[in-house]
Amino acid sequence: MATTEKFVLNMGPQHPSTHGVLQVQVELDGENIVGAKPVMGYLHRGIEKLMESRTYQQCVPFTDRLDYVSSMNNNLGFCMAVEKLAGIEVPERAQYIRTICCELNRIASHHVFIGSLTNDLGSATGMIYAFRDREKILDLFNIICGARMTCHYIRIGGVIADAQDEFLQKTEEFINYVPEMLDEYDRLFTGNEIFQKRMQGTSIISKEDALRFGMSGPNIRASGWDYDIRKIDKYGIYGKLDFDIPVGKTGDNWDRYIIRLQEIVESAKIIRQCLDNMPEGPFMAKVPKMLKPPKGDAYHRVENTRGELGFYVVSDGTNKPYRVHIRRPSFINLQALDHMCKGMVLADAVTAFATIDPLMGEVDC
Amino acid sequence: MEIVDLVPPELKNNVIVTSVDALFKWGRANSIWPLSSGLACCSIEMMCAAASRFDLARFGYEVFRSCPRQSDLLIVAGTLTWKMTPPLIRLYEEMPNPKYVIAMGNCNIGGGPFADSYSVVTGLDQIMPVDVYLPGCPPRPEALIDAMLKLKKRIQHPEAAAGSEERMNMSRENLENMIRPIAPGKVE
Amino acid sequence: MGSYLEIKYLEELQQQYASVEFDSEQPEPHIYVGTEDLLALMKELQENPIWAFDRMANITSVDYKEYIEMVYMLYSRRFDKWVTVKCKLDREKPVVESMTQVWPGTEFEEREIFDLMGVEFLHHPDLRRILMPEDYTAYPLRKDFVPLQPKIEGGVLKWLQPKSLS
Repeated sequence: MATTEKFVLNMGPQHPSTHGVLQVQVELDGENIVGAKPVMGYLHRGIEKLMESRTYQQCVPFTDRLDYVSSMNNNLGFCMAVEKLAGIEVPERAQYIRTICCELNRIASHHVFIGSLTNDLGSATGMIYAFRDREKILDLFNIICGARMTCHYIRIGGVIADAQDEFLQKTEEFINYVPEMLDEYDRLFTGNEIFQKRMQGTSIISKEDALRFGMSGPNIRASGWDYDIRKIDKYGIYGKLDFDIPVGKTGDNWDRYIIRLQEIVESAKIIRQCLDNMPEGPFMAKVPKMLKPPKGDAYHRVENTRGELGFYVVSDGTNKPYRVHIRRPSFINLQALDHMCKGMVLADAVTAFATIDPLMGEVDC
Repeated sequence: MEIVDLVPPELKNNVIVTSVDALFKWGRANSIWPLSSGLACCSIEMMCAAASRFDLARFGYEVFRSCPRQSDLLIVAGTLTWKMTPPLIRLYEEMPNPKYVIAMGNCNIGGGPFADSYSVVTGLDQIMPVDVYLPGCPPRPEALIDAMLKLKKRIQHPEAAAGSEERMNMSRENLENMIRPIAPGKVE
Repeated sequence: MGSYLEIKYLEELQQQYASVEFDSEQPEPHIYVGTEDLLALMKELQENPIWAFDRMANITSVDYKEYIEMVYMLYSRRFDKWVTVKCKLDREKPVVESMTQVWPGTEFEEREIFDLMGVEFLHHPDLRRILMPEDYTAYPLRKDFVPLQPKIEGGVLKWLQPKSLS
């Protein structure tokens, strides 16, 4: 009599779907997935250990390379943790500039999400369109700090250079272009029937499961919780700004995609409010060159594009940190991968990897 | 001795006389198929180079293959860790000859910002022979295009890369030592 | 950031569990607890509806040279409150109860602490290395860590003990 047995397929560190060096060992029963175990560590560079032998200002470029697509948010998290530990007060103009840069980076990172998701589902056009629009934001970063991706612009105490008039004017032009850009994506993908059939109803994470896995960011908001650190902790100037949190209903792949598109609209709203109310003033507080925070520890969290990014800094009175721990959202979100893929077909596994949006620099640290 | 022109004057515009070597080099250099093997941050700039603004397609290099058996250029973009080295060596060995390697980013030249880490390979040429080194952290997409054009020049005119044989032979020997099967009964 | 748990609740916890200590001089005192009371204290913090700490915001370990300290930061979504619990472990053989019994979302973070610091977690569903290769034998985040030498033979990665410098 013919029998079947389970088969372990290795979607190894190098594979066509463009998510970096993530290895997933998928256990298959025919075409249905029975288990999916992620294997990480192919990009583990030892950043936490390296930070113990650098001064505080020298640690900031390492945070760029964690979540390398949205580097401004990582810089912000680390700098705010050190400012909390050392008791440094950041001037208000610097906080407005920081908010504009972080929200622009959120939009750029969501473009990488759209590009790689549509590329994985078979449409190379999506990648070309998303990267074309992302180039406009990278030009803005080029004007303000000279680098496209790993910006190292937000420093301890403020920002390294003032926002020029050219930057503010071009940002306003970009914000005016956002509705037209989203309209194009709506016509190409959101209204596309094949796209909808592949995304709706697959890889559902229920409300209880999302909380149980400790997820955060757009992934938990797709499952129904309105959990956004910008609204809860109100760090920086987010308490003064008026924006909504898009929340999904079912927690399937479709919700995770739609919420990120809606977040682009909300980020554009935030940037417009910042541009309208930007005060004059200094852009950097007075920080000593040899920064020696008092002994103790501090924890600060920010809302990264992928979730709740937290920095725990322990100081022993010298100019180098004693220990830095980074609470990385993509690492913790990957715990849900096994649950998302069970019962799905192999083709849906690729969609699941894309919509949970891991970034390996952040997973492996 | 008289120099005789092989091509009669009425066909001069239709016939080119060349050597087989030059013809193959022209074909290889103008149609390089890279392997899509991005590791870290530099891979995003590689994707930008392949997108519409910096357009690798106008040089003939747009066909990124996912299988190493169909590609002839390995762009190592991103930090290489020791855990990732056996898979990368396997990818390199699976590519058919002639093959080329571009080391993209500071991390592959000498370790970059992570040179004193416990798990990072300090330089790609400890693992495999490298044709073009591309500095930057990350290098701009225009720099990647420049690197590929230098590779094209190196393929068509190998005498331009005269001083690099010693280093490449050392790397090749390193690689041979790493993949040679262990003799049975050998005590380590 | 939300507010820290009030002193009166900390005093209640001190009366309930014998090994709880905190420094009442500080504005936001961290709770120090012994390993024997840790799991019971954590279950109490999660289940009791007075404070309802339903999210483990951060779990980490620090190597002070005489001991290894585990740091747990808990957050309550309903009341917007924080509390930090610390536990000192013996450096030669650091063993502690796993928090996956209370919050299942701490599985990967505990594997990372096992991998990089060497703390063993009891009753963890799948305790093995996650970031370093499986056959690595040292613990990188400890202060007395000496990196192992990598060697590739037969296409397989091996780690050798470093030659002594004497």
